[in-house]
Amino acid sequence: MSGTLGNRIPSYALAAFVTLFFAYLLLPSLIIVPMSFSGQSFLSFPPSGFSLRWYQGLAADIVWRSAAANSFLIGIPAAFIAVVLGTLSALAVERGALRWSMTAMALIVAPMMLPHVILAIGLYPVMLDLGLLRGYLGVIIGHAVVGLPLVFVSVSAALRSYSPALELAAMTCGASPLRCFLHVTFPMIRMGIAGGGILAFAASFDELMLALFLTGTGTRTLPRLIWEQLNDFLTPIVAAVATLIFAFSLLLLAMLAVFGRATRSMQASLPLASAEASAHG
Amino acid sequence: MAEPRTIEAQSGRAAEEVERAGASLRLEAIEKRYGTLAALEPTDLEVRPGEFFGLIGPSGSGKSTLLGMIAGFVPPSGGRILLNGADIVGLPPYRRNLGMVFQNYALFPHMSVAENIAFPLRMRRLERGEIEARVARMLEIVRLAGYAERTPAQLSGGQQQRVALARAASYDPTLLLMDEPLGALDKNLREEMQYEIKRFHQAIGATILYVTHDQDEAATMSDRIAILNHGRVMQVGRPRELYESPASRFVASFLGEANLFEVAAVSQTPPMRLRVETKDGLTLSANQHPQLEADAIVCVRPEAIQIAKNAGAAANVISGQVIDVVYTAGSLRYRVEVAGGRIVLVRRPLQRQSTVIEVGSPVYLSWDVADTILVPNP
Repeated sequence: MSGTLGNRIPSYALAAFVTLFFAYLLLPSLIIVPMSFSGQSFLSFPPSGFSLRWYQGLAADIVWRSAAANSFLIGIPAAFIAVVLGTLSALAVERGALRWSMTAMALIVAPMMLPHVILAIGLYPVMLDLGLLRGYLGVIIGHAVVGLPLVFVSVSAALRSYSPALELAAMTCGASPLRCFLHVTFPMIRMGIAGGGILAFAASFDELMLALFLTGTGTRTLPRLIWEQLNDFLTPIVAAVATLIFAFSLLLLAMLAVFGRATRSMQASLPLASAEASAHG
Repeated sequence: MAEPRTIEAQSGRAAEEVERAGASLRLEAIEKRYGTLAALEPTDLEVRPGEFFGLIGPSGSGKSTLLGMIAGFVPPSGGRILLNGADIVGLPPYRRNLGMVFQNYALFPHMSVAENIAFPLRMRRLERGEIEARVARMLEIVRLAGYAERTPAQLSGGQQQRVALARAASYDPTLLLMDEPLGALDKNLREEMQYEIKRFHQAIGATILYVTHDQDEAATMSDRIAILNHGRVMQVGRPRELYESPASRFVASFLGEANLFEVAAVSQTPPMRLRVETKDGLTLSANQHPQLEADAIVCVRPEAIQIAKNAGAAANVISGQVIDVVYTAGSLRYRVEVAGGRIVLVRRPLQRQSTVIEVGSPVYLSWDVADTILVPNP
């Protein structure tokens, strides 16, 4: 028992360090929350007074509402494209016997490493040429490129978490490639797909650079509108938007956690028949 | 719950399922090359219906490549694979209708035991009642009747492998492939599972092709064995044939323990005996060997050798000195130095009354004329 005291002192130090570390990570984001309830009409910290008028103003303002709608109209299809292409490319790299799989992996992950401004400058003339500039499709394509590596990494990790022998076993059991995917591969990687999809959506939801280059007045997203408003009017309405985005991000994280738990408990008690029905439904 | 399923009878498949006996498997000049590297040289092999056929060899000998080609995972570079007379080389794995058991079980972790066993039946779109009956029967055969609703993670290694056996055989395939199925289990469980698999084989009647690197396991379980080395089949035969009449130095030393002596000269001595002089300077006596080529080696199994303090009247007697004796479960292993500094391994079963010959004692080693095995050494 003599070691107990000796072990506890560093554990207090560790706890203090961890607390400070999380404070360092989270406080800058949390500061925006009190600022959004400010009674003053300019952005300041610490805020004085309390009012909900910035939230009321936000709800009433058609410009903010349409920007929020645009963020979803762009983020959801972009995440969907990223999920489909990212999952397929992860399957090809992890399970296909590609001779150039390392090269393929590097190319797929590249958009994650490159500054978005390079992608934006590259896409601008292309979208201009195709007539997709300032429309939804152009920025959806751009954001799908940004989201694809996130899905790829997430699904690749899921594929590496179990032996490829499972798929060989399914095939010797008589499962065609499609049924092998539906019954074995997909159930094994669906958490990775869902996680990657949420990350891809979140990446689109707070992406600014591509939105600045590729969206127009009718299609501008929340980050772009915040950017424009910061240049023109420095009111706590920006803090209110940021707080809502913050709350929404927490919701996405919670979805991921709840979905993960639901998947696991469903897998544990899945009756024979319902798996069959759902796979063919 | 599930909608009732109808049997979508696919004529060829239905016909095969009626036939319960094991399939015949015939490999004709099957080979696998990666560029100029041969993983498997052109190979012919015949596995008889209902046979338990062992495929053994060191790692890299081509046994897994061979199994992969039969399962359909590895496309052969040439040759034919005939299952009940029909060439299956062009078929994808899911149309070959054979069962496979993997080293790490490869059970689906997101499915219960019953769902795992039902999986091949669902893929064949059998009726729900039929599926339930077959799953229950398979659980009975592998003695896991109470475990239907468990998940694989809740089972021990041995139980998981029994589920894998049940899954591989649930639709009555006529050929079962087993790729080192006991490789992940510890020694005691492995021996228990060897009997389990033999019993399983008798219960289902399918032909089994069993890959292992463990020669004892192969010898215990198999009706016949093929020994592979460097992508070639070195010898095919019953375990006892391979042990008692190895066709090459590799087979003699791979299957069990062997004392090998290089032969310097062979001459005839009446009646029907051979006088063999070894390069170590020993003179041994052997029976006539019909196919003996010019070059040969002598193989004497350690358990064929008697060890005593005085010379007996056996056909082969050599003197030496005990340099080492080790007790292993049930037997004594002596290392004896004979003429020319050569070490000979001797294994004697140990009875309660046996006296142990001490290290340093001068001894005589003797064995019967039939135990001097001449092995061609090309």
